[in-house]
Amino acid sequence: MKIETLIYGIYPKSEELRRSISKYEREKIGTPEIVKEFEKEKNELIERFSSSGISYFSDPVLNWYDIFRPFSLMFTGFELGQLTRYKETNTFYRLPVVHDVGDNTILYDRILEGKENPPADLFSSSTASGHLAFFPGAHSFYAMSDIRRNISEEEFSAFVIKNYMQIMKRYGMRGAVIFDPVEYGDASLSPLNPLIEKYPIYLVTTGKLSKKNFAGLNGDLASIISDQMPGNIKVASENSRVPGIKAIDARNTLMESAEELRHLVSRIGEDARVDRIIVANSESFDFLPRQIADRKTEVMAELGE
Amino acid sequence: MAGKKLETQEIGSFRKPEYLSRKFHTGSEGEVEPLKERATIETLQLFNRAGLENIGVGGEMFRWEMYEHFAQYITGLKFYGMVRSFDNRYYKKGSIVSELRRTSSLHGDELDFLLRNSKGEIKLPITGPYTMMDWSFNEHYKDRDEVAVAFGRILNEEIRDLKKRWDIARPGEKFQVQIDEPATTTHPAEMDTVVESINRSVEGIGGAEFSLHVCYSKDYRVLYDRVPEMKLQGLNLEYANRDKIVTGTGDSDRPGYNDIRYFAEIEDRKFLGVGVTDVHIDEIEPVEVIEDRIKYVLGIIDDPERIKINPDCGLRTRSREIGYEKLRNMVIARDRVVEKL
Repeated sequence: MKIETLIYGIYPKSEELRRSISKYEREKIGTPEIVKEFEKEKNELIERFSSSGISYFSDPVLNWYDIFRPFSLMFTGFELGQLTRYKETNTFYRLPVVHDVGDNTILYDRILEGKENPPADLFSSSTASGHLAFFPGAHSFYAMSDIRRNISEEEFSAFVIKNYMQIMKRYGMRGAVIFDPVEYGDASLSPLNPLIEKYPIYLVTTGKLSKKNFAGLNGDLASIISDQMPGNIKVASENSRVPGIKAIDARNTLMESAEELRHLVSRIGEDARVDRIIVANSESFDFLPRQIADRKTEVMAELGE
Repeated sequence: MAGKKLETQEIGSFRKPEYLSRKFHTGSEGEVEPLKERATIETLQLFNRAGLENIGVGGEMFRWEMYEHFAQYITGLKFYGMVRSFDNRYYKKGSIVSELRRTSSLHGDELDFLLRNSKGEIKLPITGPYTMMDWSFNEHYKDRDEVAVAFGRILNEEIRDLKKRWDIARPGEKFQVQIDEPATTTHPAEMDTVVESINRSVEGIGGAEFSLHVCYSKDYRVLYDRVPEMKLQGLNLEYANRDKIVTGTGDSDRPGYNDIRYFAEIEDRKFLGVGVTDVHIDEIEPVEVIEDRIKYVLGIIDDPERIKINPDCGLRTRSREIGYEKLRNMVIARDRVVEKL
């Protein structure tokens, strides 16, 4: 059984970076200085993930205040709404307010303005092997937004994926993690087709998967990473090249042991009759203190050895 | 039952004066304690000037933050670092690594000081067991229910301790405790745990009035459904934040208060502390708007002794000047309504 590893989502910032952001907010340091600090810490993390043998990792997106924020700022027809509780956590995101999905002009400069989000580019320009873009899934984006006009999920998803394609091209990304924190239910993932046809896509899902979610896809995903629920690994292995499981708890400081994880993954792999499995975190590591996130990534590196 | 008509009360925190907030974490104990006392006296004077009947604990000047304060007095919690709440705002979230135990009283010093320095009604806010559980990582206990009950046991010890102090200083007078549970309805499937841990917190303690404060819930009906099972005398809730700042006593004028009808159908004995001023905005709601909010509630629960009047939550996020103006308008509005009863 070959175990591969994937880290995705917003990574917690170091104490130094937090302090620098506070200084930036109080105008004690300027935009060039804070941009430089973000780039430095992002590059350090990418280097660490890469050199420790993590198979795949999304950009650490340290500068995103939440998973929707950059897109609410950059997408034409979107704006930032009120602070809203993120699922059942004590963490909050700014509700995307969607007025229109007719214009695919992306206002890239808005993420560099430093208003409502620290100024730093969307993704690092790293060429490290395993470095991926990161996007919220269109299904969750729709479910977790305030849609002001009568816009269907299908229409919304097509718009969002078209914009993601533009972003992939602009930043020269070679693959992407798409994270859906909301369960699909009966939703179809066919709007993902343009992305799947061009890039390896690692889809991180939530809750129960169903065959019909993937029925309209024109090809295999690079991976479908799912919660450990009956039937999920089978659906994932039938619709992606490598199935994956969310086995590193990003909502608790309790440390996993590499040995126990190996046993768990081997058992799941044998049951599903697959010879490769990806192990990923359950959520962005930003729900944890930085020290614990670092230790969990070390366990993941050990697991992939 | 409240006993007074539309009694006005504070909910908990109030903005600390700068001389205290600047030194709270950096000053020595000998330096900070007198500042806490001075700030409490000044805040009590401010509450009295505003005309508040129940002065709470004088704005929680002895506490920095509701989770962190509780955590200081127990063993079994370990802090690995800060956790982000939103944007660049962080909070301390402890990890439970061994059995939770209280090391000393959480609020004894604060209560002793108040008993020496005030004569009015006091209501002690204490962070609730479910919220302490929900805001902690758990590395030790079997499940979330077990954690909440463990916090409930600690709270029970603390309340017994405080009640002893109270009974010595104010024998025969009503001892009031407000259990603060902002996390109450964030996991609707865990309402059994909420009820169990709250009841564990107050178990076996007689001669006291217990209330529950909840704010910014997506749906209070989740809570209302379970209120009859809670061994409490009342609720103090936030409503103004979800209301319009217009006059009028019709359902459409008062959207923030509509669901009190649902509460009234379920519960006919416990009192309801009604938030009539929004603590998240600087705008001072006009007296007429607050008056209409109170009248609307009285239209649903026609018993002024079962209704208390309060801000939505603690006023710590507003300046002391704005906090005062909000409380003052709240008291004027309440007095006008009482006059016409």
